Amino acid sequence: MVSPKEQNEQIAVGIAQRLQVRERESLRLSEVDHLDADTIVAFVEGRISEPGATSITSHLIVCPACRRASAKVIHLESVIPDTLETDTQIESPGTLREFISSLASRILPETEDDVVFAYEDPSSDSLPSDEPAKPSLANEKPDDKSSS
Amino acid sequence: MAACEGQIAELYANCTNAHPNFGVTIDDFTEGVARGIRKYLLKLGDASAPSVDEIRRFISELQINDLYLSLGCAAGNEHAWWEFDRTYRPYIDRVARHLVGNRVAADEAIDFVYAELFGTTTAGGARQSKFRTYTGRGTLRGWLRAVIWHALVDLYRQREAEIPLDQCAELNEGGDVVSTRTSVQASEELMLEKIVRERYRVATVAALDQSLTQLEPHETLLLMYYHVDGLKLREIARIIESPTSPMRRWFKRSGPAGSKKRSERVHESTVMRWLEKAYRKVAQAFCAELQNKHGLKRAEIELCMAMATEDLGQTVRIKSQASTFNQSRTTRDAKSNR
Repeated sequence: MVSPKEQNEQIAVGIAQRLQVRERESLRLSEVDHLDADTIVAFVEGRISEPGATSITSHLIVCPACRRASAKVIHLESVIPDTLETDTQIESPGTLREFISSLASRILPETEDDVVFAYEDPSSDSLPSDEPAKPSLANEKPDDKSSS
Repeated sequence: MAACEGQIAELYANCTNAHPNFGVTIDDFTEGVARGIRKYLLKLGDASAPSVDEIRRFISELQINDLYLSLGCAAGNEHAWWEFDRTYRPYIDRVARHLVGNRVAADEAIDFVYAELFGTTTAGGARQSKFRTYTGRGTLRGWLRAVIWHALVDLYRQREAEIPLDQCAELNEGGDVVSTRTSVQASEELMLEKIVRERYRVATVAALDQSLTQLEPHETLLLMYYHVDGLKLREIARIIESPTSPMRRWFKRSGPAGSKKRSERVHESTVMRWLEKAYRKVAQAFCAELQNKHGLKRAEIELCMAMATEDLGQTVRIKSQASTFNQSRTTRDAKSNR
């Protein structure tokens, strides 16, 4: 006769096995609309009220990719200190300017025009700031940090 | 929204006082706040339009400084980017290194993340910065963790042919799955045993699946976080600890009335108790299902219970060694919390 404790342990193992098998099966299913990073972190940080929280929970049960992402967010929070450490090596925006310029040259873009448009158009300084496609990274002389 | 203009203007003033050169206009700021309201109060909320009080409360709960910074970065403002880089780069470094294991791969991953954040595509002439998807509902730091994870998954998917996902330090831990087929036995005796066994296996799988449906969604999610995603009890406890956590609300609601204060800390042992409660619920439903629907006797049910710990899906995890791993984990965690 199996004791209740043994039964509990057996069913725990059974549940784990079954959930893992179902996970692999659901991975083979077609893609569904995934939760974005904003929604995942809002859920994990307890910022979503009903009925949104219930619908997200239901999604996490059937979508391994999103559940795994949410599990990672939780796990990373526990293993990586959440201190507001700043990097003292970066002493001015100039360092960042170089970084972004080099980054931009690698990642941007589909056409050469876009590079010039995004980084070398002097007129971008005078653009309204709600024009996101025209940052003034390469032209503007940044103010001293103390001004911010 | 119009009734909240004063509140928004006040928050905007606080942000611009702290960082006047992020290039975020009041219109950008208001639109950023409105995006969150549309998403969380209208799309994910109930069908009725939110009241002014609900909107005010929502706005007051926003991570407003994080949102302000993200709006500056989304617009490509150099000062905002400098501030972001100074504050978050070390954290991004640590997260990326933790996830991918080696420094070279981590640096590559960080570049990829920055590219995503900055925006590599344009739509309607506007660069599509990832920052535009941040609403300030959760923390920017938490959001970054999710963005880094998504970016790494995308990065390694792109290169799946070169670098299998399972070679990546954490990207696929526990994912070393191989298929093992029960070897076909030649003798008739064994064939008969196999047929009988198959009958019990089918009943076990069906009963287990059916009994899992008896759980509430939050109980199922708890089991999945623990058994599939490998989260530790203390990690689960931490998210439930948040007073606003929906999972906390659900579990407390289903607990004994007045037994715990809502603000009380959630200990690992509490999570273990919730797990055990879910196990009991499944076990009871499992036995009832086998008895009532499949007509099995007690001895047969015990056999099925034992089978449930075996490889029911013809696949086993090498890393976890299936049942022994999970059994020892359950027992160990239970002991450590007593």
